[in-house]
Parts: sequence; C-alpha cells; structure tokens
Amino acid sequence: MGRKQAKSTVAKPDRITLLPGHVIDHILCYLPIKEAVRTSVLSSKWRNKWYTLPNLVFSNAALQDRMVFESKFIKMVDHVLLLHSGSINMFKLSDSGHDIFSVNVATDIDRWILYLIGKSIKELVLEVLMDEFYKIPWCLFSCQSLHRLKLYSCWLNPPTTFEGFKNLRSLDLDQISMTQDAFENLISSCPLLEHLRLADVIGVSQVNIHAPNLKVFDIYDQFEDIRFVDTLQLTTVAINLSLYLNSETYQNRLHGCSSNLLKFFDGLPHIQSLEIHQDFLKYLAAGVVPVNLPTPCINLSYLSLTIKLNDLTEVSAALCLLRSSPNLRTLEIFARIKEHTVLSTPTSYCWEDIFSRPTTPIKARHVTMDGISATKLELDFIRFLLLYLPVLETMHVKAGANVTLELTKTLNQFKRASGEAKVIWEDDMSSSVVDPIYDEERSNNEEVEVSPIMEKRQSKKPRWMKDYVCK
Amino acid sequence: MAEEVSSQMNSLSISETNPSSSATISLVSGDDIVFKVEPTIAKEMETVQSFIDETDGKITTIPLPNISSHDLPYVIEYCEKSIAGKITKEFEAEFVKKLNNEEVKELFLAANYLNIKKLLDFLSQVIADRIANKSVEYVRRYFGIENDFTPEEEAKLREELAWTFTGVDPDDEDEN
Repeated sequence: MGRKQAKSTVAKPDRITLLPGHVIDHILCYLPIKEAVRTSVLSSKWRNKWYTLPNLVFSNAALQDRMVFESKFIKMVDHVLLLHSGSINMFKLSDSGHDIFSVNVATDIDRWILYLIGKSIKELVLEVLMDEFYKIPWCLFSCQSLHRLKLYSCWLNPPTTFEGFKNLRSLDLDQISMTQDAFENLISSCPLLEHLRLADVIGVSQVNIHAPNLKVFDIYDQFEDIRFVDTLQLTTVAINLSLYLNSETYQNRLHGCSSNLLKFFDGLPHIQSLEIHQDFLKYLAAGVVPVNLPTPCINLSYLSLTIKLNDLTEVSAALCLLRSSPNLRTLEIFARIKEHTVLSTPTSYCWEDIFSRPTTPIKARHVTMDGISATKLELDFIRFLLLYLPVLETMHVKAGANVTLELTKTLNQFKRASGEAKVIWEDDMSSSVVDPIYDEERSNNEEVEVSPIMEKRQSKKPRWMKDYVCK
Repeated sequence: MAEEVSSQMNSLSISETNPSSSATISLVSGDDIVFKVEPTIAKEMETVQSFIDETDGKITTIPLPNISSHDLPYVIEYCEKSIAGKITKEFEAEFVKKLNNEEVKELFLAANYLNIKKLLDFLSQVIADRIANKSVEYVRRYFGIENDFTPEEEAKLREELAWTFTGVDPDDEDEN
C-alpha cells in the first residue's frame, strides 16, 4: 500500500515545490512554527521556504521540565528570528495556558520586541503568564507600525514621551496592571482604534473611553463607572460588570447626571448590538430610571441582557431600554436570581404602571428567555413581551423541567399581539412547540437579517454563566 | 435565493446539452470537457473573471489547461456554496472527506491558478493538517519532493534543527 502510494506520487511532477514562495507560505502559515521550520529538511528548494513566513506563532505547550523547556523555547525563538529574512507581520508568544515560564524570560522577550520593532511588526500578541506581570519595555511604546496589540498579564507603564499608537486598530488587554491616567491616555491617543477588549484591568476604576473610530467594545471587568466620549462610530458593545456595589459612595458618583441609564446611552447614539451581563444592568438601574430614553436607540437590533427578574429596578431599566429600541430584531434574556441579596421587589405593584405600553411598537422577531423559574415578575415580563411585540415570530423559553407545565398553562392565557408568535419550550430533556394555530398558514416572511457574528453570539452563553456552571 | 443557486448547480452536469445562453461561461478543462457555469461563479475565480473583463465579456469560453475534468467540478461546487454563503464547518468537513491526498493537492494548485482565495486558504489548512506531525519522509512522499541533499548534508541539517524533530508521529503507511 505504502509503496504503491509512493510510486504514484513520484510519477507525477512535483508542482507544489515549483509554486512561488508566498503560495507555500499559505500552507506553512497553518503549521505550528516547529513544523514549518522542519520543512527545511525536505530538499534544497525547501531549505529557505519558511524564511519569509509572515506570521510567527510560538505557542508550543510541550509538557516538559520547566527549566529545560524554557531554555529550549528561548533557543527556538532565537533560531527562527535569526534565520527569518522577510518582513514580519505577526509575532505571537503564548504559553497556551500552561504556566511554563519563569520571570527570567522577561529579558529575552524584551530583546525579541526590540528586534520586532526593527522589522516594523504589525501584530503583537503576548500571552505569557510568568510569576509576576511582564513589564512592557518602553521601546514598544514608540512602535508606530502596530495595528494590533494583544497583551495578557502585563504591566503597562508608558513613558511620559508616549505619543500614542497612531496606527493601532485593535487593542486587547487582559490581566493588565496600569494606572487610571495611563489607561485614559493610551485609549485616547490611538486615533484609529476600532476594536477594544478589556478584561481585568487592574488599577482602572473609571472606564473612560475616548475613541472616535471605535466600532467594537467588549469589557469583562469590575469598575465603578463607565463613560463614552466621542464614540460616534461605536456600534457593538458587550459589557460584563463582574461586581457592582450599589453603595452610597457609588451613587454619589452620579454627579450632575441623575441616571446612569441616560448617561450611558448618551454616548452611544449609533449602537446596533448590545450585551449587558452580570451586574451591569444593576449599574444602569442606579439613579433615576426613566420610562423611555429621551433619544431612542433606533439602530439597536440585537440586545442580550442578564437580568435579575426578581428585582424591580432592574426590570424597570430593561423595560426602559426595550421601549426605547423600536427596531430591535433579536432579544436575549438570561434570567438570574440571587438568593442572598435583599431585593427591592414590593409584594404587590400595579402591572400597568410598571409594564406600561411602549409609545412605538417593538419590532423584535425573536426572543430567547433563559433560566426562567416562573416567579410573578418573570411572568409579568413575558406578558409584556407577548403583548407589545406585534411581529414576534418565536419566543424560546428555557426553564427548569419542574416549572414548564405550570408555565405553559399560564403563558397560554396571555394575550399575544402577534398572531405569528410561537412559543417554544426548552428544558433539559426536550423542547416542544406550544401554539400551533398559525403554524401551517405562516406566510413566507422575509428572512431575519442576522449577521454571522450575531448567530455565533446567540448560541453563546455570557461568560458569567459559564463561570457559574463551572462552580 | 440560496435554494435557486444550488438548484442551478444541480443542473450543471446536464447543462452541456442545453442550448447555450449568452450569459453562461464555458470553462474548458485540460482534457477538453466543457463546464457551463453562471457568471457569478466566474466572479469567484479571479483569473477567469479578469480574462472576461479584459475581453469586455466577448469571450465566454475559457480554457483551463491546468485543471482536469475530475477536479473542476469540486472547484465549482465550492464556489457555488461560497456564493450562497453556505460555507460552513460541516460543509467543509464533508467536502474534504471525499478527497484523497492527490486530489487535495490538485485542488490546491487549481485554487492557486484560478485565484480563489477562500478555497486556497481552506485547502492550505487541509494540507497543513495532513502533514502536521509527520516525518520528513512522509511529507516528501506527500508532495512528491525529490530529496537532493547528500546524506551528510541532511544529517547536519537535522542536527541543527533537532528541536523541530520532537513529537513527530510514526509514519502511517495507509496515507489515503
């Protein structure tokens, strides 16, 4: 079998080897760097083929003795950088989640960064966990060729001469230590910044974002306050506030503005996709919660909310947002109940007062409700959606199996504004469709425009839920 | 919309017998088989499209001497899916399952020749997956590379690059 294969292969001319270098680079790009370098041994024509590889990714997680591995790893990077002869587009250093480097590697990384700056590197990714934060060398702050910078477990202390990254489009900071001033200066001095992701940035409690070209913003952090200034391009925002202490000191920070909700949306006039998770709705609900936003979010088409559906202030904030989003297409609700907190839910309230009719109909077609446990407020919330979403097509309700039957009965009594509305139950065991009335004669409605990125999002639970499941 | 495109694709194999409409593009494989495709398919193939553009659309029969009638339908199938926005992980997994090593290489060369970036990227990944962790001897056989190093040269090179030789899989003779 093997001989046969060898014969038939050799019989054909080797057309791959004759291809120009940049075509071979296509294949080599998908190989781990070690494998790409090993192609040197194939033949003399292949000897130098990897030398022009534009992207250098060092992420071998060889599970060896730490000291042995470390010295080998350093030699490997040195070897590759020494022989490499083309321009370097991307350099990525990652320990793939294995804690394999000691702090001694820092001087080597400094050396490599200096070399890469000379090569006008466009993308730099450092994901190396050492015993302490890696201090980004000052030379990097003068590297104007950078388009993308992704750092993990680093200490960022730009020199006073730092003038910003004039070409930076994408910045991703995870487990970073930096001062409030350094943070604000960094963000506001990257004029082309389009993508910003922040996670656990230590030392920054006021997240002030001043970025005129920012389009996508994602944060998973604990902060006291967040503010958007000059962010007119911002369309996609995901905020995970890991902890919000609704204490008086924080309340005092409301300053001139009496409502976090108003202040927040004031900076996001063109928002299209918004995710609010963990405690962020609690933050938004602080201060006065209006019935409607003064300026509706007319571009908002995707909204994902984590909400304590037994907390009236959070529900009110969510309703304000819904009433102010006339062009919403897809709504995702992750219900969560915190048992240990004192809730502000009164025992009785007037449904019409809290769940008042929106001034313009909400055009959401698809709703997902996850984690429903059939409390009164939850049912009232669902009642609101069924009553005021006139073009609703599907409502997926994911509830515990023990509450589904009872919920079904109650929900069937709710009046629905949309004759097309289909409620689909999902529990751990099965999913069933309730209300088949209009099912057969459903007209061929236009397809809902859901971009691939949103489709991906919809199937993804927010990060706190994953954490929760892990525990 | 997407359904329309795929039904056009199904009719592709019999389209040779249809009276040729002025809109369709004829692709002629290296072994002289004519494949009639919609102009949208030609657009996916940059090489073909630039040929059409250069002749102001007057010439709609394009010879592709480097691509056989065995491989061309795969290329067309991929382009059809690409236009319909239906390139999914599942489709790609099914697509590649049908292909042996020789076919993957031929399609890679075809994608490069026709300048179909998506297909080229995808097949690069497939080839990389198929040669990852394989021995030097295996990769030489895979590409049909003639080893022109003397045994001494090769031994010296292997020694220099010793760090790249850890974790190589033992050769699996059943390559296809």
